[in-house]
Amino acid sequence: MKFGIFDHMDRAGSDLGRQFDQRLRLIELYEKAGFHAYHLAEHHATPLGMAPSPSVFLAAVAQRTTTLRFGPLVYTVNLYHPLRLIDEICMLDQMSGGRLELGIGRGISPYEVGYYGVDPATGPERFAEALEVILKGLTQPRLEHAGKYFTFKDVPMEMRPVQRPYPPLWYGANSLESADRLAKQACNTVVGMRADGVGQFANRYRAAWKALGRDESHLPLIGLSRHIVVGETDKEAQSAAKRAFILWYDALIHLWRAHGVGLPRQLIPAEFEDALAQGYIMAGSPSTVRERLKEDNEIAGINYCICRLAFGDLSFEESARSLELFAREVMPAV
Amino acid sequence: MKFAVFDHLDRSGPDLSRQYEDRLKLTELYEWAGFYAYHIAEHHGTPLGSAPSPGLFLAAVAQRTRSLRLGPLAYPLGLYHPLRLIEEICMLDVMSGGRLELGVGRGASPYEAAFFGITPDTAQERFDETLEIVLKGLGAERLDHTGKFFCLKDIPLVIQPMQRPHPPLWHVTRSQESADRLAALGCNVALAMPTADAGKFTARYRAAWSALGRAPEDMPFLGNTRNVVVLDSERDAVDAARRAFHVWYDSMVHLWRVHGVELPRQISTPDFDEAVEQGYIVAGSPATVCERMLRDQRVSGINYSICRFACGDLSYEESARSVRLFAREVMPALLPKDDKGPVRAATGTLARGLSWMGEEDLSEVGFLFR
Repeated sequence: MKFGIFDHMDRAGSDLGRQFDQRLRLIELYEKAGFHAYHLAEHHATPLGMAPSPSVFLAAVAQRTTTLRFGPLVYTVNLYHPLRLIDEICMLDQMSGGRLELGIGRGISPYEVGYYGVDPATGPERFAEALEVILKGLTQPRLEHAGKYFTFKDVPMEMRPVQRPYPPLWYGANSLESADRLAKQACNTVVGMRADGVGQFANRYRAAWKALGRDESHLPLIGLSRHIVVGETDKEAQSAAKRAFILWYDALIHLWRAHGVGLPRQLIPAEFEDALAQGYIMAGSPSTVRERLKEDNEIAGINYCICRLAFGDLSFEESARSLELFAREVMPAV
Repeated sequence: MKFAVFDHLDRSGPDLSRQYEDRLKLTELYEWAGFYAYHIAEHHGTPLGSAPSPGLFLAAVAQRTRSLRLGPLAYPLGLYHPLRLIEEICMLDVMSGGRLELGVGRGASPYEAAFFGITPDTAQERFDETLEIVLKGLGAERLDHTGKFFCLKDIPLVIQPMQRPHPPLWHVTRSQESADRLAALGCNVALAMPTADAGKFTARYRAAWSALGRAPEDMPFLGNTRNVVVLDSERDAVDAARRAFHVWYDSMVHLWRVHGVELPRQISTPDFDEAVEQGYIVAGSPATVCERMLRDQRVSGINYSICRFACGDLSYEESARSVRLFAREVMPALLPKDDKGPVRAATGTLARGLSWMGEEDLSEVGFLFR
């Protein structure tokens, strides 16, 4: 079991400089605590994503760490010119000595892609073509492509990533059916479902992997992400978690609410108590979190346990304390 | 008089990870030596630019330094979505504690723009519209724009720059005629001209400035860029500068040559000795460099001295030695006794009715844009 961190970089308060600064300090602590990777989301024009160019923040992360792997989860590929993305991927991988984990997606918010002038209806098709271009560009000395959205004629690819043929790919999965395709692509996955749903996904992924005749020891990472707050007591941890969850949830639904609609799929309950009961949040004393995490991880059949230790208005001190307890009292037992 | 550094981050060898780390160590040294700012170029599909997304490299520089100012010189605006640019500028400014210097340009290479699908016939309009949107968006809470290339409707901007209304604007030019317009815009200027031509430009800029009734103490930075190599021995410095110049020039000319043309001569001469004569390169012992730069400073009328200490295959050790010697033995002598130069960059504006760039900016490569 490996442990990772997921971060929306949702707005914590009015001082963004301080938030960036404290987040970087926290990331140094993630590395010390033995986490495998730090994954950062990309969102635009919403308090859910104060690092709308994740590459810029990750370039700073590379300077503050030496072994921690990191990456976008995910690049909203349709909001980039493919050449720009190839450049950024290569630069980050080179600037970190090959520590990039490459999350990709088309961008799920129609409002955010709309702001960039991309028609959400073209999303999947455009994404598929852009991805083809990007993987070609990362591996070939010259780029040739004639497609519906992009045309490249003999463009020299002067940049190369350190990791060949390219950094590990990550994808966010929301459906059971995608397990077969992702297994075929040997793509690492973060599954946006409840533990029992993830369990079905992981089974299907493993079965597909096996059916392809691939070695189980090479199984990509299959991860489940949860908000985690560990405190001395259940009460202390849950009260901080509830306070922060409400702010984070507001940021999550912000653009949808501004457009007068609800989230398309109620993946995460709006009520803190429901989210806690269903395991989207683990908050409590070390023993409470340990037991629930062990139980859920077993159900989910994952090999990658992704934690969100900073969200909403959790202070640096709260997150650092939570991390310390998690690393000491929870991680070894899970 | 302020001193600054310009960096193409042109390819110095096969190991890019190492080059990045060496350059980052140099930025620490620039800060230690008292340089005002570190400016970095953006190029694509050429060994001339190994930091094709300069924002990423600058985010790393911000982590390695505390007071050194930093920025792209310049962002080729046409290669970005304006929203992406606004977001990136804000992030960099906030992450550096308000140290961003914002260079904007149309992009000097038609080949690089073409890789991105930008055709020469729209490059100018695209630049104008993107700049308008970016300056409108920086610091605003919502963005509305209807134009030829972009239609942005009531977009909430949740991130703002630290410097208001926006980080100082910079422009690179090689044309004399642009002096009047850039003075009207109050824009800081980075020239890449022979010393004598820079002198004509700054005189024209200052005349335009005073004709506008603006105070001399509000004068923006007017800089000219030089390759600088200072080593203990005259001969070592000239040899190293010559060796590195050829590697760097090959990178400069690379995409042009691939397309069967030579670099327009106005951009840079291929001849090392001629480049030295024109003032593009200053190399030698501290005494020689001191004397030459003092003279050039007077002729060019600059208040901002932009040095390129790392280029071509200069090793980290050569560049670091050069910076140390420059800081200790050259810089103090170049500071005027009664320095009336600006202490910080001017903000610059987008004045209504004034185009940022004119036809004359196209003249040097005009044959390719027509």
